Amino acid sequence: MTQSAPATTPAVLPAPAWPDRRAVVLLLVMLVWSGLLVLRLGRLMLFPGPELKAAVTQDAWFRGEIPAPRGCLFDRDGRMLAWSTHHFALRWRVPADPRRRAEDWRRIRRYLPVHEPATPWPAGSEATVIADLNPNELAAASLLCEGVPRLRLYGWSARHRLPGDRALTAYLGETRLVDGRECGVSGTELAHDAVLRGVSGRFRVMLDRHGRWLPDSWQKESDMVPGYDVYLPIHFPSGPPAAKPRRPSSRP
Amino acid sequence: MTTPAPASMPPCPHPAVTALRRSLHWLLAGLTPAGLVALFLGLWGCLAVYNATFHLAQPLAFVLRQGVWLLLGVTGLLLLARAGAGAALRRALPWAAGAAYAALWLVLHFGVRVNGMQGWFAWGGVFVQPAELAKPVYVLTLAWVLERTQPWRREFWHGFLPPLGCLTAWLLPLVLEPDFGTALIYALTFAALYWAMGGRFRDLLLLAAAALPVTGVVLWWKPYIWQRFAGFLFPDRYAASFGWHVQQFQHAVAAGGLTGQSWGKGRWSESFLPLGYSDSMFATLAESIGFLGVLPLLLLLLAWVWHGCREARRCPDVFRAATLLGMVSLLAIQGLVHLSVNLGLMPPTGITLPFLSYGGSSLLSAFLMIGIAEGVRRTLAPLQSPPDGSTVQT
Repeated sequence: MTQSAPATTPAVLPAPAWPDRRAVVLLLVMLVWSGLLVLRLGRLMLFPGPELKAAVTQDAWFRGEIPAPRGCLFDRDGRMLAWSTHHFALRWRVPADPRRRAEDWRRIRRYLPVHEPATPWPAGSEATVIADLNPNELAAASLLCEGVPRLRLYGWSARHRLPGDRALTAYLGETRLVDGRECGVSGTELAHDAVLRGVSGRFRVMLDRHGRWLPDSWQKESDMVPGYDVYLPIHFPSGPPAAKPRRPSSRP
Repeated sequence: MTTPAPASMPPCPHPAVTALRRSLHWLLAGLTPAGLVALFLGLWGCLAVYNATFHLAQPLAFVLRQGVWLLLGVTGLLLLARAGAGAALRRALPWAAGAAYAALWLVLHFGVRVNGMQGWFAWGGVFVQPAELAKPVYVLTLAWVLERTQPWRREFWHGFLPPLGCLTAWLLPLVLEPDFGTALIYALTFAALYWAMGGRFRDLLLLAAAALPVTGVVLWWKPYIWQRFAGFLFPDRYAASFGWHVQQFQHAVAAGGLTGQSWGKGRWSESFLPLGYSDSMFATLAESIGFLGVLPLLLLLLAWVWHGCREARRCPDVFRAATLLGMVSLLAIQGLVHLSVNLGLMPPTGITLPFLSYGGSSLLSAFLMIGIAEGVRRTLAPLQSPPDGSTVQT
């Protein structure tokens, strides 16, 4: 707002009753303090050292694998001889605090039909609450994991074979889970392992302070390539053709 | 005092509407440049609160509450800026000081405990923090004591002890809450104001030396303060405990970079920072809008300090000078301490960023302080008229 200046405007202000130059010094002190803050801000935001950069980009990220479904084995007529299915287990890191333990268990019981084991799980261990969740249980367990940070879902796969004689079983061979991946250890499973196993994808996701995933931060780092199906030059003659099970893996 | 309606205003037949228009015109004349900057910062604060609470279930609940307090704050600013710092303010001071001081003690008995601190009155869903609302009153009281003791400013007994007694009286209920962060702001403001009014630096050093044993007692009484210092000094050694917050502050700020992450997507701050919408507001903002976004904040803070110091030099008497400098110092110190904590230069204290952090009491208090400072400024003699003698800024 402006107004006309009175004709009697004092030409010189009266001397203050306090040392007014100290206000300038106070301003300078604040300026120096602010300057330090700007330097620190620039150091952190514009020129972060390699350690800080690594901490920001790595420490809070969890890197994991997207398991590739293992390919199936067929005979020459297209009958499925071996296939894989994927399952989910609910695991619980049992807390040492009895109150927290009781509270966790109460919440688990509220969502899932589970019973306390005869021998209590030792504190600090990771107990498998349900080894194979059905779809409804999986949905409930997903919600449960958001509220209880000590629970987690664990994916695992199982290899199935068409029932047959001992010779066929030996011919097809065995698989074993190594680091969560199915690997052929004998027979055809081993011979064609490189083709059957596929290539796992990789992802990263940020964790909160309780170790839970932040869904929005999930990023795929590399694509997963499913295992190839293998057609074997054999004929499986025994009995009528078995009902063809649903193929769990997709053909690449 | 009424301001006549401008000639361009159409005549209104109803006297009530005319009176309302005149009142509004009178009130809005208090919206000085400093008030406009405060309003701008308050609106920015609402956006910042929305940004910091975006990931919560009800982000609008926070920002709407902040908006209501912003309206209250702007109204208070306009009223105080128009009221000036004349006799009315001096007459109201004992009542305001009595009410604010009583509230500080009453909250110890009738308040609610939040985050280990008994510092809030709660009515339904509304929380009021007396320690925040008492800030402008504290500065006014200190200014009054400094004015009364100004002739003996360089004497210990008559010049130093009375203001020190005033500080101690205000600090006592704060320490009992315990709210050491706010107590630190009160103490630093006292030091700045006492020295600016001509006090001896030696007295302040003496006070600091005398405070050492008191600090020892406080550390023994509240060991978590010592743990915060340990976490600040050795963040790597105590990365999983006391040093956690210090490290996360730096990580969140560093994640912002030059231009920041996208608005509302400050993953680090929303996941790792404690109270990202209040005590860690600057780090949250830095992650979201980056270096270029937060630098203007610091510049605005400095502009406010420069404006306040310049106007204070025009004050001929101690009361108005101390009031203006006190308001400037308190807001600036609070802002600088908040920034220092968020940049890892100080141990965590739990201080809000004026105008931007979520918290109604803090926001209202900041607006009231700007209003009082502008009211003081209005009472000063106009600047020397220019040679042509046409107009001057008032």
